[in-house]
Amino acid sequence: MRVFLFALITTFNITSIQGFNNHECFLITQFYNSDTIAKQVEINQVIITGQHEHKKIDEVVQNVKIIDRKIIDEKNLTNLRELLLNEAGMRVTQDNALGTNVSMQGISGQNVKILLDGSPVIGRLNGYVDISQISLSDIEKVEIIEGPLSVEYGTDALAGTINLISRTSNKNLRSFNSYYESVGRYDLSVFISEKVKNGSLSISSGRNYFDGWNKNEPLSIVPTETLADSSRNKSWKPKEQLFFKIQQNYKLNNINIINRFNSFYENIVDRGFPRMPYQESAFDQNYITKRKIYSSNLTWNNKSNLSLKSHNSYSTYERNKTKKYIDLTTLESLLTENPSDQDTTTLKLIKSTNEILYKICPELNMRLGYDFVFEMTSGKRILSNKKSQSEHALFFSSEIKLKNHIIQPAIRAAHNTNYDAPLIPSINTKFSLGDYIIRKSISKGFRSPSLKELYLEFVDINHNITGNTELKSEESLNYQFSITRIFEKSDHEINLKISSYFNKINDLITLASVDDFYTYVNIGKFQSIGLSSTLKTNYEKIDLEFNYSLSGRNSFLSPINIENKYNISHNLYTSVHYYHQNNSINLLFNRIGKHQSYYLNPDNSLSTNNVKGYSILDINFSKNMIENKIKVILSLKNILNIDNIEFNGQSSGAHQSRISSISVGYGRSFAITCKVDL
Amino acid sequence: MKIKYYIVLSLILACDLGEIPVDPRPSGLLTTATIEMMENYQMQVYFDLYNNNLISENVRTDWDLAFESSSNGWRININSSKFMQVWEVDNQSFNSPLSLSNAIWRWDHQSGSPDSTAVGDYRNKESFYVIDRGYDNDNSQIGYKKLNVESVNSDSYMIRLANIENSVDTIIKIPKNLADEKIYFSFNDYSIKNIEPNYWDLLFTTYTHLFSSDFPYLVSGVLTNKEYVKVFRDTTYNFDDINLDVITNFNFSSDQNIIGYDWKSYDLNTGIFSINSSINYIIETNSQKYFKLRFLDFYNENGAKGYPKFEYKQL
Repeated sequence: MRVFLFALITTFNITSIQGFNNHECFLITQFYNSDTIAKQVEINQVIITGQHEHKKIDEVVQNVKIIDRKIIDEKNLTNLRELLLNEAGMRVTQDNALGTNVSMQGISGQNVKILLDGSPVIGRLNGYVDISQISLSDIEKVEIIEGPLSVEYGTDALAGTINLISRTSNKNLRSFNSYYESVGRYDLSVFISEKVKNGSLSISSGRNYFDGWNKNEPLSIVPTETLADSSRNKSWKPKEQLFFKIQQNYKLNNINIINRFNSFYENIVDRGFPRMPYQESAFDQNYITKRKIYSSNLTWNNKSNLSLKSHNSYSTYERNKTKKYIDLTTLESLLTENPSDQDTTTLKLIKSTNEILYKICPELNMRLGYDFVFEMTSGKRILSNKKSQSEHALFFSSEIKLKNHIIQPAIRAAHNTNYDAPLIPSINTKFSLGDYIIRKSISKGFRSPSLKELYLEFVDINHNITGNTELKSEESLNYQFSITRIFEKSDHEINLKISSYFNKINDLITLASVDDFYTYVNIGKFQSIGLSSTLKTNYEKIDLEFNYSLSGRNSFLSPINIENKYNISHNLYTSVHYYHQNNSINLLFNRIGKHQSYYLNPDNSLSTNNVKGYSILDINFSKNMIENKIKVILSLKNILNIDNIEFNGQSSGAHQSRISSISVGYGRSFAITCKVDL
Repeated sequence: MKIKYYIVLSLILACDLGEIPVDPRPSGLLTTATIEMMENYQMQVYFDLYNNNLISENVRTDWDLAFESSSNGWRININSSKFMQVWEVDNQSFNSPLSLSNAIWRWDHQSGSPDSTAVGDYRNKESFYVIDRGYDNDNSQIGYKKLNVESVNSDSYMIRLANIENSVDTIIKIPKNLADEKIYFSFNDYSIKNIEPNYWDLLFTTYTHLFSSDFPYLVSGVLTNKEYVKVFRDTTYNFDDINLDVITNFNFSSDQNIIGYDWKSYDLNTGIFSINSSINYIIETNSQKYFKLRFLDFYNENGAKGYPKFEYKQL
């Protein structure tokens, strides 16, 4: 009842605001003016990631999906985790200490490249970036490219690439966004854009606060002081996130410059379970993450079909872990004495990508690029506490446009200071035959050994784990095929797409026992296959998307050389949008099938993971008011109340760990967003 | 209208408001003790339950071998608290060069069974042993020794010791003392050490646990006096409900590792030891006295691990 009251009051509060300047309304709100415009936007969506030049989505040779601001708003999505949880073909898993991981094409998150305006997001824990740290409040659109983009983006872009494009505006704009969710989430953000001479300046900043969640905890509109009893230990840890971004766009004649500074801070508070039997003490842990990205983009276009692009970025990442022993009867705490309990890991990355694009004729253009990456890490468990590596790469691609045919061959050659970088070729083709569009690609991809895998040093009386400087990179071969058929009728359009993929990864980097110690070695291989069918249609006021996909994973784990059959997982996704004047209703259903996988323990024994299937059902009501200056979205999230999924793990060894469930969501919740654009 | 502002303020000011402390438990009639094994578990501590008394303690690297001291005793134990292991070499002379890569290592079994020692029965054999001395308290490997038991009789052992490359080849006589269970000997200075007290119930120490015949792992926990003490491990009764009446059906064991190490568990994700408080131990001592015992903690008040805290009561 209190939730309903809150929603009602907030809505009423917003509708009472008056007096905006119509002409200052941000462009994106035009999407909501009419149904017709909304559909045009989808057709004219422009893709940036991995392209020679900006292209419409139906012109690119890769399989690409764009989730634009309109969709992000209407689905009431606040971070990349929520977005990918509501996408077909994605599997999102949660570790409440390490964050959220996503797998694409059946391949885990360590082989998924995450980019923010083209700059790599660094700071991988257990191999993957915590996608719940990536806020969408100032994101214009998210581009998802399935399959390798290693020629353009180097390591990790093997299963797919997710590029988040920041919101920008060439108009004066003030935008405010507030989000409340009944599980205890309180988000606020602001976006300000100013026209300046020859360009624009935009600033966005925000704070996300989450007071943690436990099953069966009572609803609380505001955070409250709580007793230091067993309820202090949350299955979803409380956290505070702060972010700030400033972006300068400058245009002079044929030169475009975009400078960005992006800063992120997160503090996760993990209050330990009171220790048995008397529950008078506990261990609390804090995880503080700081991430900064400085980037500069320069684009120069010559009228004689020559253009230059330069993207330079400097990224820093720091993760600080502290552990305290707390007396729950006095709440006095002190840092624990074990040196390994307190740790700071830092990572720095400099990346410079420079490329020349030359259009020889309308049918042929070529791109030549040079990519430089310098990476450095430090921490207690790194050999000599600090290590670095650098890579120089040349890449070349061309685009040949024949009648109904586009062919895009590409190749990348690199030299790395620490390991032998592989040669990476790829070829993508697009063929139009009447109403059919056929896309085919063969690409190689790679994941370079991380500095941790190369230089880890974790030796004590019970552990002897060291990195391996002889590691090779994981290499993949990816085949993709898709066929799209568009049926155009007078009052509606049907878009039917069937796609398939095959991935083969060799030289998997795995922790294994060698003689009397453990180290990372290149053993084993992995294969994944997938088949997907997507139906999209719009009829009058209804947009419908239906997807059914199946993916299979097959692990070949040497040295015990167990060859498993493909473990097939099914995925059913449905999204229905109903538009009426300035209102819309979105219903979203995502069924993620059961999932089985095998992995090799450090003592060479085999473990099996069986994760049950689950379904996500969301309903979002969206209302635009006062000439689209105000938007209110009410959401019922996770209506089927999914929280933990049964998980059967079997392993052997000294650290036997049988986890009975894994976190997927925090149960059914109610959310309300209010956006104001001035 | 006030509610609206209240909600807006909550979005802006939502933060951690802290906690309310819990009430401390009332002090009871149970005896509580904390053992200082130290952060790296370097101490071996002998404890007497009846007198609530720490009888003696030593650094675990103080000794290497323990020789059975009774007049007809011949068995030899290795110091499993520092992860020692033994390779029995046969069909070779004591001075012949050895390659450690060929070693087939053996360990004392954690149960303390006299028939399951790493050295085994050397009598009437021509073999000798390579002893891996395990790890020092700073986790560095100590090194290797060659050992041959030249003879054993009711009075003494005669052993031959040498470094692995055959230097410092020495014959040593180790006299038995019938008042002691075992004679403890150190390779550090080739001398006898006073380690084990005459009577004790619990030994807090690290020891080697064999998860399988070829998978040893160093654990920290409690061994009991195999000669005098029997233990039953209970997970069904509430600790407060255990009395002399309910223990009549308990099947006590004299294996030395019934208490063992698994009264605590280690969370790999958080790196924290937690106490399995549902495990109760009923201990029968030499004087037919019964005690119930459970563990409370593995950390001291500074949050340092290696300080097992337990409570117990005589039944």
